[in-house]
Amino acid sequence: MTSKERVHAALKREPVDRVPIYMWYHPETTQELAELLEIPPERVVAAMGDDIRQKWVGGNYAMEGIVHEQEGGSHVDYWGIEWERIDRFNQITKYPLQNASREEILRYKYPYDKIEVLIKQMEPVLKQADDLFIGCDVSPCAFEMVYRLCSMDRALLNLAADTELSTKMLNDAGTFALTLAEIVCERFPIDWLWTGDDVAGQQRMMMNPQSWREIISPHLAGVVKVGKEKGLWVAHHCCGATRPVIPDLIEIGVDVLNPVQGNCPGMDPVELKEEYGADLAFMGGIDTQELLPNGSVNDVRRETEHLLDKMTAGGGGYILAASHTIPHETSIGNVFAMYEAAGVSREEIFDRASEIRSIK
Amino acid sequence: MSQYDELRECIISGKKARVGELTQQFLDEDKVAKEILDEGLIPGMAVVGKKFQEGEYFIPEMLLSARALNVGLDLLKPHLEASDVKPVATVVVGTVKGDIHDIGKNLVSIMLRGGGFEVIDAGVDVSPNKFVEMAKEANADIIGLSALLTTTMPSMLDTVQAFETDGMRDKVKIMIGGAPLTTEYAEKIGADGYAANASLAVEMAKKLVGV
Repeated sequence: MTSKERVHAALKREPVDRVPIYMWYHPETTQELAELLEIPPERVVAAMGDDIRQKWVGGNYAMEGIVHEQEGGSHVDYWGIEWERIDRFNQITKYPLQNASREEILRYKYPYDKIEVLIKQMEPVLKQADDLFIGCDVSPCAFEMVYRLCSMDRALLNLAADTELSTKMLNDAGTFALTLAEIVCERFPIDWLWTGDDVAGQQRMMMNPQSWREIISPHLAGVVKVGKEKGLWVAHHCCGATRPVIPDLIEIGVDVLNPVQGNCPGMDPVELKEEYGADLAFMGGIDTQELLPNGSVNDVRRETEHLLDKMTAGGGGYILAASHTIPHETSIGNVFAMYEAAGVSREEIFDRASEIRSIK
Repeated sequence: MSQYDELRECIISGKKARVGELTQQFLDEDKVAKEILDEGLIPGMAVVGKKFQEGEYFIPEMLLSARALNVGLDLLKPHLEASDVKPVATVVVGTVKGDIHDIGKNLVSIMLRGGGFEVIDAGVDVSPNKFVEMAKEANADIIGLSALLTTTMPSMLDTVQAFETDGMRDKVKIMIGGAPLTTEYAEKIGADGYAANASLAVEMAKKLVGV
């Protein structure tokens, strides 16, 4: 089975030779694996056997796609957001609309003139579209984009204090994501459209689920619809305790939910699988907050085996992944343990690395 | 019916202009600032905390109430200072070194202020020594440490140790909060308490200073 066939089959709940895998690595973990496997960092996921390749063409490009070599390295993205590498992650140090007047906010323009540059990110992954499952990330789609522009405090306060302004900002964010989605779905042979919008914290949703339904969800729904109308799978990323709106996500057409943080209230992956598994596939669930950085190799293997057993019940609908980027402090042994539980041995990974070296 | 009912209700519903009018009106009537605080603003925020805790309020509603609270507090502050009214306790809060996520820390500050605490916000990416310095300067009773990233959790231990090294550990209580944290982690690093949300942080802070 090619990776492309494997992921499609899993999403259709058809038989697969092994569970599909899609891990997100911190650049330092990638570097560590590259040294161990003696291959270039950009070939690590190929050696590991991951099935999906994806690029960010929206705001996430600025956060994840630009890697500063040194702490303190910074850049201002096309949206005017300033990012700085602090403790190994790009974090926002300046929100362009944090202190802007209402009029300035109303005048703010999204970087439509940069769309062609942004979607160029897809070129290298599209070369592998015959064998690999290809995704395109157009997120953040609505509220998350708004708070990257005006700060989380202001974006959240506006939801209660100035619904009109909130709606306008959400509409602008949603329209930009929708435009990106229309272009990439039309132009590229992708397998899924990746949407995302962080609206939940560790304990619960940031805003009342009813507010989300009324003023945020319609913008997200528009983006999802673009993918569905093109006959693509649509994946959706939202960290945290999103349980109250999972039925709504299914309703608007989301096929795959990520990252499934099992330690948040209501987010036990097995419970979610039982309740929503007929309509929704899942990607994620391997805990990045405690298990991966602090657990033993045996803990990780046992937990991954348990999750695979339960999450693939009913014929599939699961993609093995950590519940976000694998934290850089995770031991390489723990990384291999996840793959081993999925039937990808260390030997197989080293063999593939050796092939990669010989081709080079 | 108390004369402060409307003020309390306006805090709960986040009507900042009306909170300003009412607070000023009470001051003009020569009401004691401490009474306006204790019977209007603080009970209002206690209801906000309860509604948050029970899942009726979410962060936007809490921020709206906080905005109204601040209008009232700003008007009362000179009067409270003039009459030498002491806060419940003084808390220095900040997001630890390496981490600049601040919404959790801001919500805790809001709820502590609404609970009658003096809050000094140290900001984000705060080094262990900076926390110690600020605690000394403010004569703080409590230090509140926040973190979102697992990678910055060790900064909490470093901060606790900085207080020990400086001989300040016995003078302050240290409480922690943030997405990846637990009571067990608080115990492990020698902190005095953990709170899962901003509302519980007020209860924890009161417990730590014996109020």
